[in-house]
Amino acid sequence: MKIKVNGKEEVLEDSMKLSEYVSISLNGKEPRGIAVALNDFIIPKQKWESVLINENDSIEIVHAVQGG
Amino acid sequence: MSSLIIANKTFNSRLIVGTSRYPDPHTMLEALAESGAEMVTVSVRRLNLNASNGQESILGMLDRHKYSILPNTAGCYTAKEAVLTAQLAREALETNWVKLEVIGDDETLFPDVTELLKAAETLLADDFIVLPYCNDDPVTCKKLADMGCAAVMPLGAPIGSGMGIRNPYNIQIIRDIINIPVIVDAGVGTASDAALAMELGVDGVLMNTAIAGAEHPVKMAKAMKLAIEAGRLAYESGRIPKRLYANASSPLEGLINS
Repeated sequence: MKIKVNGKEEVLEDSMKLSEYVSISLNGKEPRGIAVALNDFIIPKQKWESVLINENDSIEIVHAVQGG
Repeated sequence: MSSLIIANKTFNSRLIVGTSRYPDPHTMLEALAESGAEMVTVSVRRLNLNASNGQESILGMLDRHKYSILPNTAGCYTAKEAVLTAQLAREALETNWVKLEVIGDDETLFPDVTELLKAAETLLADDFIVLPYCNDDPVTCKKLADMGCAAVMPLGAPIGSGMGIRNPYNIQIIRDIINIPVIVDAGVGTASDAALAMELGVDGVLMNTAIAGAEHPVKMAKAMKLAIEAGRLAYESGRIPKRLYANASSPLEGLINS
């Protein structure tokens, strides 16, 4: 199943929960200071468990970096 | 020096500093400390998922008991992008404060006013505390203030240009007609620029490159701190008027040989 993550195309074997995907992406690290948007909608951390990733979804995972 | 109050939050420092372009994190932290700043800006960017050493989150470096974090929407060219970025920042940083930037041109980094106003309206309706970076145009500043922004942040000169306050007369007019905090943001190059801005009566100055890009950032941070204090004190002291002709300062009575 094709999805886009942070602008790059990715292929997932099966649909999975957003929480699962984030956990894998962070290599199991605690998701502090990050935010996730799915198809231009912010998904609050509490809702990651209840959101399923579907075909052609676009995900943005961001964090704070240096800036002026 | 009187305190700066933005959206019911009190700051003892009138200097807001950015966190980018420092030679290294250690210098950044030292410079921030030396500047006395109580609010610092950060950006929101994609997590580098494939590298083990992606751009490090700045959150780990900043003591949030010491610094209020002000995320910016740098790199956004449309209201839609800026609004999404602000929402992501709010989620990631647990703050509804945002420095709203909507850029209209890559060379000057001047704001796209139409998109800026649109974004501000949307974010204000979504309960954000909006501090918009804008051009030194009193009309735009008034619109932003009237719609409910917490401050207006007119530029002194293009971002990172170090040109100082290019139009002090506009800044003065903005200060005159705007009742919310006015913070000069962008273009400051050295201490006298910051002092001048404060002498014009603005409430604060936001800068990044002037400090981070200086040969000695930590020293420059201190210079800026002092300049802002001096400029503000001078403003509060009520300066003498400018006169075309001399106004003798020594007494005229008791002149020898008179």
